[in-house]
Parts: sequence; structure tokens; C-alpha cells
Amino acid sequence: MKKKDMQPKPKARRDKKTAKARLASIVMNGPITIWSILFIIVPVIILAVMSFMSKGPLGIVVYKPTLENYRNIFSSMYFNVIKESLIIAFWTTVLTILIGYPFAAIMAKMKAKTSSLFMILLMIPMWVSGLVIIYSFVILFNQSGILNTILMKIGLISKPLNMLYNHFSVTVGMLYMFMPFSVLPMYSSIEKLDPALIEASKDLGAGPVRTFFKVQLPLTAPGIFAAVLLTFIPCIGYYMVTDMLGGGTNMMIGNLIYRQFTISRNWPFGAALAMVLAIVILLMVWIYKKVGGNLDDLG
Amino acid sequence: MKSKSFKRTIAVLLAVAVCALPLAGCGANSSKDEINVIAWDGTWSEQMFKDFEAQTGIKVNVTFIDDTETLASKLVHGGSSYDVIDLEGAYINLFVKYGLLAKIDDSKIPNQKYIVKAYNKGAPGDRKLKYSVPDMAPDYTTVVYNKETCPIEIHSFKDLANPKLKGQVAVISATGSLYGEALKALGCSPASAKRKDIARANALLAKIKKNVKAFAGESAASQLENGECSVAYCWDYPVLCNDSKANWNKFGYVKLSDGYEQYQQYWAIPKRSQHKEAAEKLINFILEPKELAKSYREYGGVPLERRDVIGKYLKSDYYSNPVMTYAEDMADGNLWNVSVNDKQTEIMDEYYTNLMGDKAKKSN
Repeated sequence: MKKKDMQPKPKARRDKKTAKARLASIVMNGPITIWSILFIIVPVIILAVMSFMSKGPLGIVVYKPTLENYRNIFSSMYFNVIKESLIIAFWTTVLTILIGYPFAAIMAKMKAKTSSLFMILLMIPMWVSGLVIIYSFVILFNQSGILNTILMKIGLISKPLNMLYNHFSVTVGMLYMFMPFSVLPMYSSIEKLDPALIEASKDLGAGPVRTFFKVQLPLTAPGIFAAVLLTFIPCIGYYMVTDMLGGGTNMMIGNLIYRQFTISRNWPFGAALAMVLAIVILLMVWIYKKVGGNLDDLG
Repeated sequence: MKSKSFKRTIAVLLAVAVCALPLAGCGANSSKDEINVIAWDGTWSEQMFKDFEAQTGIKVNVTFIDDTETLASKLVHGGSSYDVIDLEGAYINLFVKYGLLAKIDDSKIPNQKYIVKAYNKGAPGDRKLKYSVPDMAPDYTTVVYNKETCPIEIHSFKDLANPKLKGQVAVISATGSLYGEALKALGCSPASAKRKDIARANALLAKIKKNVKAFAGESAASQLENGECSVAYCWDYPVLCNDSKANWNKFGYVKLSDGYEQYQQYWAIPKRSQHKEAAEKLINFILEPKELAKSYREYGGVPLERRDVIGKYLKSDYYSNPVMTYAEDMADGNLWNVSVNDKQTEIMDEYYTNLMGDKAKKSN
């Protein structure tokens, strides 16, 4: 009887704790959950529904279901735009990885104070508006800009160099904008690498090249993969650099989507393009997770 | 115990408040003493709106835009309540057709009498100015060139395809103006929605694209000023003249033999506005010569109103700017202006995507 009497007490206490924990959880997670539902999930649902609707006069969305928008995406002209965006994103990613990896490796070997300083320098582009950075490149590279003026004044060139609205300016702009996204995950991965493993490889007779390819590279591969995703994904839809530094002579998928919501006034088609882009990105993240990537490394 | 439950209640209320805070400004219509205005960026003096507030007690919320498409999107999809809009003439026909504009009571805008007679003309769809009031003098989209560096003499839009201009041309990215001018140069109507005509215009633009160094979005002034391009198809001659006196002799404009686009901006009141009276009061206030002059002093431009009424509020040398003679000279020419139509926009957009997406046609 005594035992029986005593049994409900801990249960009641457990219930009380659960209620407390629930309340705490609601208070802690409630705002962010409501925020996410209202400003992420609901807009995505609206976009998804809109992508199956038709375009009316003056760009009004007509609620008449159609698959036409998705069918149109695969016509050659839109396909060319998507292809061009993928090519630019691919080369930007390759270059940022190739330049960023040695940079991250050097930073990882530095003293804490020096690497922190480099880290701050690396983060500066992320603190400033992208538009301001791109404009500063226009000022730097144009025919009467800072670089040409200096080079001409010191007599290195007799007429201004053509540095703006070409592949050079686009490459520099893209590298500058996306380098931090590439270096940070690789730095984190290289820094965590146990130096004893490199030592062991050397002790076992492997040269620096073999040690790099057989030990360091495979062990820091998750960081490289994270860097690939963090660079490639925003790159696909990014059109400010190609527009302002490349002269906008080629359309990117970002331009195409922007145009549908403005000049073309075709919101359903714009929504379909945005959905396809989102699906491609989700697929890439899924592959990353499947091959053992940690989603936390993506921020 | 009481204190604990009080804390819990406060915590839950705070959580709800955090969520609700950002929503507080959404969907609310402005109060009786508040009006919402959409106006073009870089055109209107903010001081002018502040002075209206001080004089009338009506608060003015101004949203600045740099293209009409943004305005159309805000009106059609935004669900927001705007009371005064700064509308491009080409859109008036469409806005009137779909019943988006309210009729304006002329008697409430007596300051319209100050507008230069030649500028007080309605756009297609509202020739009698029942739904709109001119807010700027007409302007023109044409070829502007650097007198020192442009290697050829330009007479026609087709001349922009001359190989001697390779890598020297900048064009604005306004599809309607580009295709309209190309259609006109080929002897077609700039309003043509015939696929065959637009395909021909596209072929001409593809030739020109080989010379294009930059599609300059809304303005090609910086490409001309920084020396990147020697020629531009744009509406920036007044901008260049207002930027610097050094530009007055440096740049010239072409009265294209094929014809050139004339456009004008108008004030209009959306039908959904619940503050029509205040909106008309603001339009009339802006047309007060003393007030309108504030915008010209800040941004320049050809005054919409007669010199005898507005001149005294402007600098003594204001009328020596070549933009004044440009306005007179260009008004007398082979002008075209068309209203936006959905079918033409759809076909042009298709060709434009093809033109811009095809790497084979890339210029640089």
C-alpha cells in the first residue's frame, strides 16, 4: 500500500517537468517557428502554387492551372540561359577552391593572432553591400579609373587598358565576392586536421606531394565539398557581377527570374524558374548529406 | 506560485509580440492624414514633400522607384494602397483600360495653368488628361555620342551595327525602347506585335549587339562619362549635361533619321486610393512653381512650367544649359511613342531572352 501510494508522486513530478519543458520549448522555439512558417514556408508554398498558374493581362496571375511554365523552361533559349549560369558558377567554384585552399592552409598554420587578422580581412567583403563592392571595381577598372590613371602616370602604359566589361573583370568580381564562402569551411576543416597524421605520413617515407594527396586532401574533403556548395549555390543565381562588371551582354538565370517579375510581368513563369532553381539546390544539398557531409558546416 | 505563472504569461506574451512585431506594418492602410506616393528616384526633391507635410499636416510616405515595372508590380500584386503615382506615359493606356486609375478633378489642380502648353498633352489612352497630369517635360531616347572619340557619323539606328563601333556601344536594357527603335528603323510600326516584324528587329539588334560593350540597365551615362563607350542608345543626354559643364561640349545627340522615342511622365491617382482629395492637393502643391523649382535645383532638367513663372526660382544661368535647346530641337522631329501592350511585350521578351542567352552572339 505504501509503495503504491508513493508511486504516483514521481510520475506527477515528471508530468510537471514535461509541462515546464514544453512551455520553455514553446517560448524558445515558438517565435522562430512562426517566423519560419510565415516568411519561409508560406512564401515557398505560394511560389509553388503560382508556378502552376497562368499569366493574365498586365501581369495579373490567373488562377487557371497549367504545366506550360515548366514546359517552357526546357525550350532552347531558356536552357541556354540556365547553361550559361551553370558554366559561370562552375568556373567560379573551381577557381575559388584552387585559390582558396592554399590560402586556407596557410591561415591554418599561422599563429592564432595572425590568422584572426587574416580572417577579419577575409570577412570584410561579407560586411559590405555587394553593390558597393561592385561599384568600387567599376571605379577601379574603368578607362579613366584609378588603376589606368596610376599606370599611365607612372608611364607603364600609353593608353588605358581595357579592364572593364570583359572576362577579366567578371572573374575578379566573382572571386572577390565568393572567396570567403570558399575559404572559411576549408580553413575549418584544415585546422581540425591532426598534425600527427601528416608527421606519420612523412615518417613513413611519403613526400610532401604524396602526403598532400593521400592524407591531407582526403581528410579535408568535407570542407572542400562544403566550400563547393557554399560557392556554387549562390553563384548560380548571382547576376550583379556579370551585369555590372561584365556589361550584361549575356543573361543569367538570376536576370531571367528578375525580368519575369518586372519587365515581362510573367510571375507564374518566374515562379516556375525559381522553383526549378530551388530544387536543383536542394538536390545538391541532399547529395552532400548522402556522401557524409555535415549540414552544420554549411552554416 | 503566482509569480511563476505571471512570468510564464509574460514570456508567452513576449514570444507572441516578437512574432507579431514585424507584421505590425503589413497591410495597414494609411490614416486620413497620411498619403503614400510612388515617385521616380533622382527626380524629386525630398524637401518639397517635407514642405507639403509642414504646410498641410498630411504625412507623405514616398517610395522611390527606378522603373515602371516595379510600380506596376506594386499596384497589381502589392495590395498596398498608393495615393499618388509617377507613371510613365506608355503605361497609361493599359492602366486606364484595366480601370486602375481614378479621374482627376481639374478644378482641384489650378496650378496646371503654369505648364508649358506644348508639354501639357496626354499620353496614348488619356489624350484629354482625364486621368493624369504631366509631371515632367517630354524627353527622348536617342543616340548620344562622345564628340572626341566616336569614330563615325551616326544618322540612323542601323549605324550602331557599323563594325567601326565594335566594343564602343552602350545601350539601355529597356526592351520596349530597343525593339521599338529597331522596328522604326526597319520601317515597321514601333507598336507592331507581329512576330515577323519583331524577328526582323531582333536580327538588327543581334548585329548591333556585336558592337555592344555594355547593356547598361537604366542609364548609360557612366559608360559614356568614364570613357568605356563612345556611343550610347539611351535617354541620358540631359543627365550628362546636368552632371558637369565639361560634358556640354564633349557629348552630342543624334536626331535619328528613322525617328526617335518621345516619352513623358505623369502624376496619376490609383482608383483604390482612399485619399483622393489629399492626393490632388499634393499634385497641385508640386505644380506650385516655387515647389517644382526645388527639384530642378537639385536634379536639373527641362522645366515643365513656363520660364516667366518658374525662372525666378532657378539660378540665373539655369537656361544656358544645352539641355534647353536640346528639348526644343528634339521636339521638332520624327517622334514615336507607343503604349505598352501585353502581346508585344511577350513576343519581345522571348526574342530578347534568345538574343541575350545565345553565347554565339556574345560581343566580348
